[in-house]
Amino acid sequence: MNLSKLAVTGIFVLVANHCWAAEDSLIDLKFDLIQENIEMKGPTAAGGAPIAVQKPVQRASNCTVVIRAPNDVRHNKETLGTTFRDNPIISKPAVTDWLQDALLDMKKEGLNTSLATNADLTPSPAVTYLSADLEKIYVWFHSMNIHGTLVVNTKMQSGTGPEVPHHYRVISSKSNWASTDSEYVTTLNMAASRLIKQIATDIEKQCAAKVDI
Amino acid sequence: MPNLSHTRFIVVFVPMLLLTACAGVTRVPLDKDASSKLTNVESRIMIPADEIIVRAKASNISAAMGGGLIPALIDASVTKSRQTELEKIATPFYDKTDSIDFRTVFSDAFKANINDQKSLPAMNLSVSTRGFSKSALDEKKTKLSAGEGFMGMRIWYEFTSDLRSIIVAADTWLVTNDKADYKYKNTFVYLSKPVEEANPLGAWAQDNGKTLAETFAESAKQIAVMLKQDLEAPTNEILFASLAKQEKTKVVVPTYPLLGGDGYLLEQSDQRKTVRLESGIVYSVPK
Repeated sequence: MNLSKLAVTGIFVLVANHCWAAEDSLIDLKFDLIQENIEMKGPTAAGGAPIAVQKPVQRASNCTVVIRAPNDVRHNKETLGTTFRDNPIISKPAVTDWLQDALLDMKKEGLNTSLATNADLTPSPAVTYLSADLEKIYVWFHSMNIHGTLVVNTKMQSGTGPEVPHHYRVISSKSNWASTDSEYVTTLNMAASRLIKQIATDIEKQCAAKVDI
Repeated sequence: MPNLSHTRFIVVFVPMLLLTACAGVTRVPLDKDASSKLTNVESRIMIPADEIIVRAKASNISAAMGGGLIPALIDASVTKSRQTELEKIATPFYDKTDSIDFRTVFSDAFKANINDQKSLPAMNLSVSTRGFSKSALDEKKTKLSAGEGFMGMRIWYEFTSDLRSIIVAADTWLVTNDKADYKYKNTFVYLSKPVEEANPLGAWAQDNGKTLAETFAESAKQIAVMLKQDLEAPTNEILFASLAKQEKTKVVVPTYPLLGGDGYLLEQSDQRKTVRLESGIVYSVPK
């Protein structure tokens, strides 16, 4: 087979492999905080490898955050993008449950978090309330990397004060090793971890402002 | 080992478009005998992408180095770094254009411009967020009754590498319950007029993305026009025998890898021209 025939065959194989997807990619989307830029301690005195150390986050204000169940306001509530082979990525658990778990995990960002209950319908002056609308969430590919995009709108209300809106767009990136479902989950968890870091910073500012008032 | 391929767009669409250069005619003309028997055509516009993605120019060191894992890893790292840098200028663009839903804009404009087609029965159009797998297509064909057809249109949309233009590509096909693969198949590519401003993303974001939304709608209109004309066009033998009397013209789409190729001018206005490549694929490009 000459080179040109080989090239044509190769392109046909690419088209055949990628234009027609096999099946949906059902992912088990569960939030797991992913720390980036973790401080490395070491090498150890015994000459061992450096050890990853997660520094505890300390906040100046003692913020108590009550999180209301997130709303799904996406235009596309069905898929989280498509896989490398163009199959739809679909989350088995509700994506809002995943986002809620991520927001509750802001306790690792130094905040006291809890989920809103019926008792929280009447605002308490000692609490900051957080509402979140999930606008977009999807996985995409570029070069050898997987990216995750997460767009969330929030409203923060300290006590009986006004609701303050915030808009967040976070993008995560990681190397694409094998286009596996777990890599899509990791990529989205990286995005959510970045998101809650930003939200926690804004909540702390709002808490601090409330204390000043 | 890492996955060595590029973006979904490049993986899925570019090979198809590059076939123009080396694989002959890919167009399957409308089977007039089969279409005359159709009484009902279910049509689905498939648009998986939720929004237009601002992608950094992909590094291509590995090509110069003859390929391999290490150069590919360098490419990935360089592209990732470029992408991170680009996000800073992409954020204001998205802040202004977040509310523009390509699916809605495109499908509304497409429906408005395809209604007067005469080659097929009235299309019952729906919009999907997913593609259509080969196995799903085979299953769909078995469920079609005599006189029923299923038309699919898979849409991709991207910025060109310089972020100045928008490419919208539509891979379109028609099947019936006949065992033959396609009763019609072709691809249409729309390339927008480039924005001239120094900051192209800023230009696209102006007036809350007015130009962006208008371009999305214009792409749907042009693709509908190209589809209508192509459905009416004759077999490839007759078509290309007629076109071969013309001088060839070249289409270049400034993206990586370069798209386009040699073709024949079908029509032109003050602003745009339509060119059929030697593969049968039709491009609508600015003059």
